[in-house]
Amino acid sequence: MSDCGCNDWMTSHRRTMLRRQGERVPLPRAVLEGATAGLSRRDFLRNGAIGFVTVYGAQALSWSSIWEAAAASAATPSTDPIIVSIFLDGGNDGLNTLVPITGANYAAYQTKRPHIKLDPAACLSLGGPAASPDFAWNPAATGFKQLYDAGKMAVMPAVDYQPPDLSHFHSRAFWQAGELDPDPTTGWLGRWIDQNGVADNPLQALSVDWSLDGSLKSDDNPVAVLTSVDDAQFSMGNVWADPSLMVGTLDSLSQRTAASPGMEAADHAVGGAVSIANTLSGLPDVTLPPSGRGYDTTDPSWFERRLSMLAWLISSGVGIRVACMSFDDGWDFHDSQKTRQGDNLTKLSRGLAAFQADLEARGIADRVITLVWSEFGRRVEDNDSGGGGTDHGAGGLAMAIGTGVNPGIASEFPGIRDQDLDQWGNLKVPADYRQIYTSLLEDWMGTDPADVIPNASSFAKLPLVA
Amino acid sequence: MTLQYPKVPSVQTRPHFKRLLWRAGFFGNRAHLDHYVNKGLGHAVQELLAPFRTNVLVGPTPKVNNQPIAPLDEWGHDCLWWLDRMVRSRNQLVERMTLNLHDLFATSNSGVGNTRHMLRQNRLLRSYSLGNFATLLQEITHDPAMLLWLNGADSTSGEPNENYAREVMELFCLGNDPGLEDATYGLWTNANMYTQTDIHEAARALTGWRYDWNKAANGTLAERENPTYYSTASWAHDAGQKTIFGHTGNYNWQDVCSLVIHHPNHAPYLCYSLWNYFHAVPPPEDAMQMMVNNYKASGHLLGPVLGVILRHHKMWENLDAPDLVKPPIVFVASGLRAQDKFITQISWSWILEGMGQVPFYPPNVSGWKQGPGFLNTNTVRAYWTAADNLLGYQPPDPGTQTPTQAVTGAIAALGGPWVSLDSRTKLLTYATTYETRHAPLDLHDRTERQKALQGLLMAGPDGLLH
Repeated sequence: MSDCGCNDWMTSHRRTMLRRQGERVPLPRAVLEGATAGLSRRDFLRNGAIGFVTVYGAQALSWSSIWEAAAASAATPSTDPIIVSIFLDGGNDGLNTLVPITGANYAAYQTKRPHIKLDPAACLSLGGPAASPDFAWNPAATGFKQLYDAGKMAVMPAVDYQPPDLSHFHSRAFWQAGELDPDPTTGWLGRWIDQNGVADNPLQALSVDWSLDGSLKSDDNPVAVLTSVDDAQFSMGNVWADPSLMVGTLDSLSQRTAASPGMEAADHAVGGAVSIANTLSGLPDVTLPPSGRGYDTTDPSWFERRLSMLAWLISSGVGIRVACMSFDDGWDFHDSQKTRQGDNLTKLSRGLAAFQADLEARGIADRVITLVWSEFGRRVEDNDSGGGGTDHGAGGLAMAIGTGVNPGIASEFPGIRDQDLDQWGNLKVPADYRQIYTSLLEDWMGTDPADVIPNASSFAKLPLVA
Repeated sequence: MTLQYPKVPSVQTRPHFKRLLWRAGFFGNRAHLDHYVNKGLGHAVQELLAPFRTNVLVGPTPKVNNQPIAPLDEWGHDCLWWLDRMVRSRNQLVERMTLNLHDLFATSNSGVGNTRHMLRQNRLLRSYSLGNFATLLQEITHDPAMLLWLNGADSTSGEPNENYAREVMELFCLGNDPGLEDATYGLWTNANMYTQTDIHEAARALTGWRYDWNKAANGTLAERENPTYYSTASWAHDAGQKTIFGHTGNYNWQDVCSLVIHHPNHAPYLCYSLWNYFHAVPPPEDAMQMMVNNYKASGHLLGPVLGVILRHHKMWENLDAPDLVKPPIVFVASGLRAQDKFITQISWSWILEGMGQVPFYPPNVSGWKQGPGFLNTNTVRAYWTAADNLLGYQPPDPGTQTPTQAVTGAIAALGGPWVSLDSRTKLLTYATTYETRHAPLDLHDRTERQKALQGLLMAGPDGLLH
């Protein structure tokens, strides 16, 4: 982020995981097969794990009770609706994702964006059952065209809160909290889990990420972070001729009668970590995306790997109700926006189209709506840094994807002529992000939004859900 | 009352001095150790308690990518700045106590959001690390980082904020755990516990501090460093009568500090807390009595308390089986010192994040969970990564070594850390097996064996203790 001057954002981003301490436990393969009844730690180590889960808010629960609850969920086929939230961290530029290509808006677009404007002829049309002549997709967003044209996408071109304050940190916190609180203790999905979830299954609310998404912070019911299997091994630079001898020795060092509580803690932690590493090292990598669904299977991005793992977890029936994921790369393009945003959009839209195809192939697409959001939009006028970039703005682009969405343009576009903009040259904000939340909570999850969103009745629903 | 100290043992071995350097500082290399061995334990403790005033930092200044570090501006450089002091300072006890006081007065930049203030607070803690705690309490009560962290800056007569008042009693100075009565042999008593009324009344007395955000952003250097101001005549100060701990008066913030310092539970709470930073076992009765006596007799100086802690016979117990877990920062700083290495890379900032202890970012106001609380299967894996980085990719060619020479060579390369007999035997088995499997050892094999041995010494279970 050296080109951005947003050190506060980067720092807070990296520190997020320190704010709450979770218990990191392995996720047994058997859980996903619905077979953990009476599973002991020893059984688990023998039968293998597919990764680690960091569990928040379940300190009183034992491993086995947690996994038994997950397995019990898996034993009963579920039809419960699910929300998947995809965060584009850094503030995606909506106007160059979904380009206004007609009339006065396009004239203003050309004038205000001399450096980064896109040629309508190269952009991708919005076809299918909700075809719209007024907008076109960034040429890189091929996956979005695929989803939109298939009638599986609703777009909201300018969503924010009033008054927009253009801070990464505040805006992200507000979106995650579902209220305008810069230092929230709970997130909107965490509160939903407190109201509608269970006390013993942390997999019900899952961050497929390095740290817990703020949206999932709960008060009472447990939530979890799942990381990949790749970070468990005890490798060491220059030790490649005989690493297993080294790791075996590390294990043996921990096997002794400890002379003090401190020594016991050290022995247990080291011995436990080596056991986990050894167990995982022999397993096939279950997070590789399946072929034939549109994922890049030869060189999948981490985003695609996580999406395919999530699809697999949902189809395993372990009780997931809400899941969050942050896209691999940032979107804060103060400069050199055109190519960098294009690269991101290629990866993002391809991954999401493949995820949708994956859910359909697994027969669970009717249960999932995927919400894609960013903390704000960007300034309408571009700048000339590094060939063209944009500063922080208001009114971001949000999208809802799934067979259950009502396709089309689901909220107002405020226009980008001079007279349409606010006093700082930003998009006006015709839709509040909490209107998305109340719509999804009531029309998709079937619960009262007032349980979760303060002043819910003041956020009129949008026609998002079919 | 006169100051009272335990006698240091008359039989003094190198392990005695290693223990002292580990607990009172950040270990060191052979030269560091020899320096103290030549003085004898009594004079070594005296030197640690009487810091040098000139030429405090010895060795090359920290660099990242061959550039000087910029703690105020670059992400993670605040961490490197302090780590460098731990590595290079001749005043080892000062740095270790600064770290301990940072844990006691745990303030996080995640809430302060101002690195300049964090570094100022760090200087404050360092300058009083062996000095007058009563004065330190006065200073930190209106330290700008603390005023932002615990809401002193937005506490007013109309709405007194109890945050600081509560923590100054519960965490910083008095304690509220009934178990303290037994642990301090009745020096701390439950009968003297403060009440919610005391907290509220103290909060009223603490009002009046304000923070000038404009000066903080745009003022002179001195103003940016400390933009706080105070007036008992201000609307923000509650000048009325308060009753705190049974005393009544028109108290202000200084009176609160004084009342806390003279509260009967303060001296035993503070001495007990300080002891636990240096020992894995609670203080025996004679140590408690001497510490409290010295603290009061000296007019609230920390040095005479530390003089008891560092000389007590508990310090020299279990020299062949250390029982105190190394905090992550101590692990990294001592790993560098032992090998004569200095700060040359940014990676310590994220490695410490994985290990669970980023300086300037304690997880909350109660600081880090010390001792075994630092260790779990997740963090020990990060200690291993730290060891890999501390050692560097490939050690120099040790030449032809017998397995025994390989083990003793690895121990010597790390400054001669403690290794249990059991561990030494297992390391010898490793070195012998490696030779059997790979004979004759070529250049790579020799360095691989050496690297693995050093890694196992440093991040095996013995290496996590001191």
